Amino acid sequence: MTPEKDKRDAPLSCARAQVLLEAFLDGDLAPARQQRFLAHVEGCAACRTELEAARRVQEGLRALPRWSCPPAVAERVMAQVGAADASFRVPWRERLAGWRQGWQGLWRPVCAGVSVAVTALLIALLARQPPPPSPETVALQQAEEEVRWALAYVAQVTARASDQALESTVGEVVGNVIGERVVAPVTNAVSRPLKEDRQP
Amino acid sequence: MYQDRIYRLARYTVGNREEAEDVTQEVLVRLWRHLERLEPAGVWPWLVRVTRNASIDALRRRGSYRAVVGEDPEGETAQRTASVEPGPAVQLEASELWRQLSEALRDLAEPYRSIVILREIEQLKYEEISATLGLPLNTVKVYLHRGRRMLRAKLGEYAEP
Repeated sequence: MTPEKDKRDAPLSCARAQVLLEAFLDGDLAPARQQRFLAHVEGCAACRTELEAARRVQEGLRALPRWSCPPAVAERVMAQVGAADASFRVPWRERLAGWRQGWQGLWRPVCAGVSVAVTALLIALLARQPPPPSPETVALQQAEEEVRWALAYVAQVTARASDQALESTVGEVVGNVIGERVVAPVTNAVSRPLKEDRQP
Repeated sequence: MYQDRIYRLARYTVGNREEAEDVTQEVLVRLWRHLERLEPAGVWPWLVRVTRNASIDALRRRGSYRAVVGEDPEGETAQRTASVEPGPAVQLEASELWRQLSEALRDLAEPYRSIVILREIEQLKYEEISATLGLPLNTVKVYLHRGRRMLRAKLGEYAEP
């Protein structure tokens, strides 16, 4: 038998048994140590009395009433919280912290919402149809086209005609082409809104 | 139920129903106001800490740790854990032991009192008490053993078999 094993098998002293008593009550002793403790208590009246007193206190504690919270307390709490809700004052630092926490949780959905709105706006702008041109705009575009055509015609004729023929050709272009096909429609288109404005 | 545990912790600390109700009300209102800032796992430790502090404040306001005369351990809201009803003589003896135990418990210093209440009355595990009070596991065991020895010493003859 080794000295260590011999020490483990030696009877407990009362002082050692007192130290182990609480752990025994909690069931925390290893089986071998528990056996030595019980063997000591069996042969020691003082330690047996101490163990019984400890058991009695523990059982007494565990048998103490397990009070329930009276329902009136919960009612008073709800009344107090309800009354305080309207005029509840939180220090501004705490309130700020609360908002910050709230925003930390909200920033993702807020960003997602903004992205969707911007995308929808861009699509709407791209898909928007240009407004129909006004009659004046149409007349002016048409006159511009006629002038361009007339000038091209003049340039072509000028290149081929003699000086004598040029004079009559220019007179023909100015009178027939520019006068009838350009000046008259533009004058009509521009004067129409002016007449409408004068009407009561 | 949190409110029952709070109420019991307060009642075994302050020693009477009225003050325990006031403490419980105060703690629950504070819980309502702080709930959004508490992690679910942190609610119970927070409640124990606040209840303990509020109970000690109530004792300070009162000015002493006076013994409560007329405390009825078998009041209408009490739920006894014993499954068998004892006879009148045993009941009387038990009542006397309860009264002595309650007073001895109130006279315990912190954190011994909270640890004894949480372990022996609330029946929490060592690990739960350790997490609740923020104390190392071995410290909880040492304090519990010391607290029970103090109780035995205070009870004197009432603890004798």
